[in-house]
This record gives sequence, structure tokens and C-alpha cells, in this order.
Amino acid sequence: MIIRLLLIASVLAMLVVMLRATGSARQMAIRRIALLCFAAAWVAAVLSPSALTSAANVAGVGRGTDLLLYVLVVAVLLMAVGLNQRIGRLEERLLRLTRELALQSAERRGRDDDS
Amino acid sequence: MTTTCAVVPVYNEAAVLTEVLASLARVVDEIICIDDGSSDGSSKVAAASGATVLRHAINFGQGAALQTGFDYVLRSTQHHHVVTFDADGQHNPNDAARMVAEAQTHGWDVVLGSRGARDSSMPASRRAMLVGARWLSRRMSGLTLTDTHNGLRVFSRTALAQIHLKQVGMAHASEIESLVARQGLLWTELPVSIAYSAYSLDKGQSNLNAVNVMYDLMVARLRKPA
Repeated sequence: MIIRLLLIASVLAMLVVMLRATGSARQMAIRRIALLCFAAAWVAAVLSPSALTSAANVAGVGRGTDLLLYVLVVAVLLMAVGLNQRIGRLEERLLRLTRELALQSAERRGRDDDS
Repeated sequence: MTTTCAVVPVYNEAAVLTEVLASLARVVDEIICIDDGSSDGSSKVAAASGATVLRHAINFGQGAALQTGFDYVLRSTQHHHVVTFDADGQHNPNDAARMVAEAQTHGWDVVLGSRGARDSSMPASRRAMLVGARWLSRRMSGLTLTDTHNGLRVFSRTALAQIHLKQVGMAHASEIESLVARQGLLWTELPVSIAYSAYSLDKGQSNLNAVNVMYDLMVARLRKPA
């Protein structure tokens, strides 16, 4: 039962945080740490399935693999949001570049016309 | 003497551009066309008409094209008033002239064109949607406008310097309204007529695009702490 609360609350909280994120180096570092933790947990789960089952039972989930699946879904969702944001930021940078090119070309043409 | 210019975002309008620019040239001192990545040679057509042409190598959207035009006006010209004018022939240059005169006479920061609450030449489905858009826009920006998505506007140079559009697509109209409200700019509306031709309706925004506009605005809202 706790798992439901944990999952929903964590997803909502992380979505809000991510949508507000400015993409600073801090965010990236946190994300990388989270990724490493997740990888470490995955390795631990593989090495000791009983540990995974215990963790699952604490959270109110029957099987260890079920817990893994739930966490995986959350992780994938957040990854999708993060990638979308990254793409959005890339588009902004691309626009700034395109705009600068357009402005400079026009200015150069203007100067050539006057000379 | 203060001068006036028009900022015309262009995306594949080579078919009608010469005509549109010719009639517009009579009412402004300079036309600044922003070719938003057209593939039909719109840039050449605009240049042949004597307009100043800026070209986006990649297509981004009308909001992005307008902001590029605004940056150019502030960076490289001294014009005192700027008209935003559509390239598809829906706008009337005489309306633009009236709006500029209004801004010059009364010192408005922003003059917005309005189709009015009852425009019978508009397709019924579009009219129905605009009623909803108007209500929503009023709630979001706080401005009581009769036409929230009209591309015909006049800005004073000082107002222009306060506009920094982040929305690249059609949501820029809502962004402009929010900016006007937030910066406390002096604004007014003037009635204008829009000519709906088969060409422009065909090319124009589908009603479904309202979904995209809403999405863009909601995401932008979530990003900034209110």
C-alpha cells in the first residue's frame, strides 16, 4: 500500500521539479548521481534477489520484480520528460543562432549597399 | 521626423507576396520581411519588391520570425513605430495606416487591430473558437480584448524594447498580451477588417492548432513560478 503513495507522490514531485528546472550543472549532477544509484541498486538486486523481495515487501509489493517494474516505469517517465526538456533547450539555442545569422546577414547587406 | 516600418513574417507566400508588399509599401517607410525558412523563393520575391529581407535558415514559427524582426528594428533602424503585418493578404494596409496615426497622435504604446465581437465574414467555426479563446485570454492576461489573435498590431519603439517573445509558434499572441499587461503598456484596440480568401484560409491555422497553443502556454506557465 505504501508503494502506491510513494510512487504517485514521487512522480508528481519530480515532475514539478523537473518542469521548473533550469538545466544547470547542478541538475545534471543530481541526475547523474541518481542514475548511478539506480544502476547500483539494479546490480544489488540481481546479485541478491532476496534483498529485492524484502524491499518490495516493506513497500507493500508482493514480488521483487514487481517493485523493479514500478520503479522502472517511473524512471522511464522522468527520462522522457528530461529528454524533452533538453530538446526544448537545444531548440532555443538553435533559434538564437539562426536569429543572429539572419540579423548579421541583413546588416552586412545593408553595409554593402551603402558603400 | 519619426519614421514607421512594417515587420512581415513570411513562410512560403511567394504567390501573393509581391501584391501584398506593393500595397503595404504605400503606408510605411520600410518593410522588413522575415523569411522563416521558406522553400518557395519568398526571400527573392520580397527583395525584388524592395523590402529589407532577413532569412531564418530554419523554420521556427511566426513568433520567432516576429522577434527577429523586432531585434532588427531595434538594432539596425531608428523607426519610431512598427506595424506587424501578415503576408497572406488578410490585412488591409489602410487599417495599418490608421493604427499608426492613432499611435502617433495619442502616444499609445500598443495599438491592436480587432475584428470586433461580430465579424460576419469569418467562418462560423473560427468565430466559435475565438469566443472561447477570448474568454481564456482575458483570464490569463487580464486584458479585456475583443480580438485576442489578430496579427495586425502597432508598437512604439519603447514598447518594442520591452518585448522578448519566447513563444516561437502561434502562442506568441497570448504572450504579447501578457507582456502588455505585465509591463503596464498603454494599449487600445481599433476595428480592422480581415479579408478571408480561399488562399489564406487554406494556408491558415486550423482550429485544431488551438490545442498546440494551449499546450505551449501551459508549459510556459509551469516553468515560471507564478
